[in-house]
Parts: sequence; structure tokens; C-alpha cells
Amino acid sequence: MKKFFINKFVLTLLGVLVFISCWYIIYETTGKSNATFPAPKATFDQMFVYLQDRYTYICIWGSLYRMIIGFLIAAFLAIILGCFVGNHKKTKYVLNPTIIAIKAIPTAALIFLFLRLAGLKNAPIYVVAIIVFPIVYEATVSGFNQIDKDLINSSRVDGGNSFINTLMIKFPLAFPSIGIGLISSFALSLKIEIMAEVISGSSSDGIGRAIQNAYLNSENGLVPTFAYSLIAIIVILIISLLLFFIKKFYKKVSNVA
Amino acid sequence: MKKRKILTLLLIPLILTSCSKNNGQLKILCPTGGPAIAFYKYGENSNFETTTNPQTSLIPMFQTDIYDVIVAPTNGGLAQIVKFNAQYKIAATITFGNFYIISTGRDGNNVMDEGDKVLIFQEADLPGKVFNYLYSDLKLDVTAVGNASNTKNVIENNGVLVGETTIAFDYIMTAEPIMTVTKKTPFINIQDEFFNKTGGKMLTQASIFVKNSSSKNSIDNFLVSLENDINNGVSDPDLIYNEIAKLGSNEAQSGVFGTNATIAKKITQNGNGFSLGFKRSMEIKDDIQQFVDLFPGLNLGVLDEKVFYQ
Repeated sequence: MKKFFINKFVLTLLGVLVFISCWYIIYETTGKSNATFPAPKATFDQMFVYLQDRYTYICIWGSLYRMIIGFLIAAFLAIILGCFVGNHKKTKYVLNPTIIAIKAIPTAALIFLFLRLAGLKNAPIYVVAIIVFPIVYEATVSGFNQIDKDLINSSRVDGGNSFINTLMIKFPLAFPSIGIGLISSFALSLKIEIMAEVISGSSSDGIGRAIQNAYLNSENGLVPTFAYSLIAIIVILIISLLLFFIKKFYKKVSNVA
Repeated sequence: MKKRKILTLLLIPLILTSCSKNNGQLKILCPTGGPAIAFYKYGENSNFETTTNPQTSLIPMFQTDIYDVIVAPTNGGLAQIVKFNAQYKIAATITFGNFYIISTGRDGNNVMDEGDKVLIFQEADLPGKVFNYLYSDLKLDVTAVGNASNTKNVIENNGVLVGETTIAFDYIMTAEPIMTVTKKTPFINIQDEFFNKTGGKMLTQASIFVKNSSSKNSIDNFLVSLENDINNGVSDPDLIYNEIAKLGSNEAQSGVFGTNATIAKKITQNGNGFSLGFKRSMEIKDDIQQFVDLFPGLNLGVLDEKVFYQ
């Protein structure tokens, strides 16, 4: 087991090396100009400079803050609706067209819509919410569908009412599936948040805004843009790693259940 | 009763996000760059927002009532009022053009004339219209890119645009702060050329539009205060520097204004490179009319008195 972990770790390191080598080769072959392609070393150096700047953390917090608000709104509403649909299966067909439409609508169109409805600062919150909503909703419905019917029937025999049954029996049983839906959509939310910030061009502090400004004001080509992008990658990696462990935990719980 | 509760619940985020709107101060939206520098004292004001994407995020705001004051390209704002019945009026112009042509040094005779390769930006918008108005008779070989930031890449690449066909330009039309950021000097000041060709008319680039339903008292006080700020900032660029620098690092400053304190000061010192100023719209109606006439496609005609704030 330990050997396997070491191998996995070594392979991951190798993957990072391959990534940086590819980056370096592209830089060398595209004319060694930061204006067209950023140099790896200069980008990492710039990233370390940014990591020492308070503004970088304000931006990370700004993006995370808006993202979390959007995420929580969506998760709350999606779980409630998912529970309802899980209990009244036929309503799924009524809601399906709406859910499909929400999933299919281009994100850029959503951004334009919410720019008008909520203003520049708040538009990303709603965009994140709309993207997360169908994912969590479907995970909730799927969680309810996977519950053993015998268990539900026996709870009915015991005389529990529908609300208590949902809250105390069905919801905990469906939670591993809901959890996976929440986790899958969380890292995606940050990417959506950053993209919405870039499209809105809002002055609210955020990683998207920092990336865009670095692009517009750079005196060193694309280096600052990609330095901020690296920071965004690190943030997403940290979140993904945390979520990976949480996901693992839920899978374990799910298997036990 | 239950339905009402659910509706209230659904509206909570909307209510929460709109709470910040009414705290007595005017809510202002402004594009980054020159117009934002005019608001150098507003950097820490939570009701002051800027955007780097005016076409996407600023012009559509005329159709909402989110902002009391929108600083917009004069043609874009007036089009919203005249053609789309936006509930705003034009109150003042605060930037009078920040367009320049720089030379890449490739042109042998060093005179922009027939056959010279010129890069411009926003062909269908103000920069392109002004360029065509001034130079359409020179038979130049003109290539256009999307926006001013695209010209920056070409300037940094020694005047070469890499694409389907690689083009080496003789001249590049760009705007401040890009000219200063790329450490270039102007070959032609487009504002001066416009002034000369129109017989003394100003390039009324960005103007202040005020919402009809906003308190007149607040708007009047705001305009007086902004006029003072601009006049003081232009005559003493250190004021601009000190106020913008309060935001912290260069990145934080650029985050709000689109440029940092040092560059903003440098551009202002360098002959008021952003062309900041303050002229009440009622006083420069002819200039504004001449300006919108550059855009025949907009069909704005003769501007009605009611579009001007009094």
C-alpha cells in the first residue's frame, strides 16, 4: 500500500515535470517572447511576488466569498426541490424541461442576464448559483431514487409522517449522493466565478479581475496574467484536494450504508 | 401563507444583494482608464464601480435602474437615451480623447501617407470613426483589431501582428494608458488633429449620464464636487497619485482604475494625456452634436434639449 502511494506520488511529480517541460518547449518554440507566450521561470517568479501581496489574498477571498454565497443559495434550493421531487417522482417530468434548459443555456448568456438583473458586482453570485443548481438537484433526486424501498415501506408501517421520514430517514440515506453532487460542483463554481468576473469586468476584488488587469496593464507580456492563473490553479487544487478527501469519506460512508 | 414564505425565501438573495444599493450615496458605474482617473477620490467608495468591458457591462446598464450615474462613451450613452428611451440625461463630459498614433520606425519617409500600414482598434466605434474622419482620404492600408488592449500586444511585439497573415505596421493607433505602459511617445495627437479639422470642436469622448429619478440635489452636489476634483487633479497630479496609492499595491490600484497611481500621475503630468476636464453638456451642445454626427449609423439626428441635464 505504501509502495503504491509512493508510486502515485512519483507519477504525479513526473506529471508536473512533463507539464513544465511542455510549457518550456512551447515557450522556446514560439520565439521566446513573453508577449506571445509566458516564460515558465518568469511566471513562477511573478507568482511568488504576487503571493507576497495582500491584494492577492483579498482577490482570492473576494472570489471565494461570492462563489460560496452562490453555491449555498443553489445548494439549499436544489436540495429542497430535489427532496420534493424525490418524494413525488412524477413531478420530475414537469421540472425536467426547466432543468435541461438551465443546464443547456450558455454560461455567457447567463452572465449577460444577471448583469442586468443584479449589477456587475453581484452577477457572478447568481451565475454560480444557476450552474450549481441542476447538478445538486440531480444528485439529490438520484440519492432519493437509490434508497431501498423496503426501508421506506417499513418506516411507513412504523407510522412516521412524510416530513419526518424525509428528514430523518431518506435524507441521511441520500446524503452520500448529494454530497458527491455538492463536491463535484464546488470546484466548478470557482472556475465559473472567475469567468463571470472576467466577462463582467467588474472592479470588485476577485481572481478574475486580477487576471484581466494583469493582462491589460502588464509591462511583461503575458507573465502577470499567467502568474495569477497559477495562483487560481493552486486555489482550485487545494479545494479539489480537500474535496477529494471529503468525497472519499462519503464513499466510505455510502458503502457502509 | 406557505407560498408566501417560499417566495420570500427565494427572494432573499436578491434582497440581500440589493441592500448595498441604498445607503444615501449615488451609485456610480464607470469604465476603467481615463474616465476612472477623474474619480481618483472614489477608490475606496463602495458605491463606485468600474468595468473593463464597457460594451458588455456598462452600456446595457442604461436599461436598468441600478446606477444613479453612468460614465459612458458619449455616443453610446446618447444612443441609449435617444433610441432606446433610457431614463438618463447627459450632464457633463469629462474626457476629451486619449487617442494617439505611434510610429514603429518602419516608414522610410516618416510621414503617414498612401500605402502605409496602420493598425487601429474598435473600427466600428469611436476610435475607428475618428480615425476615418481624419484620415480616410490618405489611402492608408488599415487593419483593425478589437480593442486598445490588442494594440498593446502588437506594440510589444515591435509593431508586428501575428495571425493568419503576419503584418508589420508602420503606425499604430492606440490609447492611454497603453502608450505610457509600453513606453512609447506620440507621433500624432489625434485630439489635436480633430480640434483642427473641426474648427475648434472638442472630442467629447466620455460623458456623465445621470438617472432621471435620482435626487437633483445629490446630482448637483456630485457634479460640483467632481468638477473640483478633476480641476485639482489636472493641475496637481500628485493629488491623483496620493489618492490612488491609498489602495495599496499597483495591482490593487489597477483593479479599480485600470492603471496604477504612478502611471496615472505620469500620464496626467505629460500634457494631461487622458485629456481630463469638465464641461457641462449644456455648454458644449455643439461639440456633442458634432461628435455624434461622426456616427451616421446611429441615426441620432439633432439632439433634443431634453437629453441634456440642466
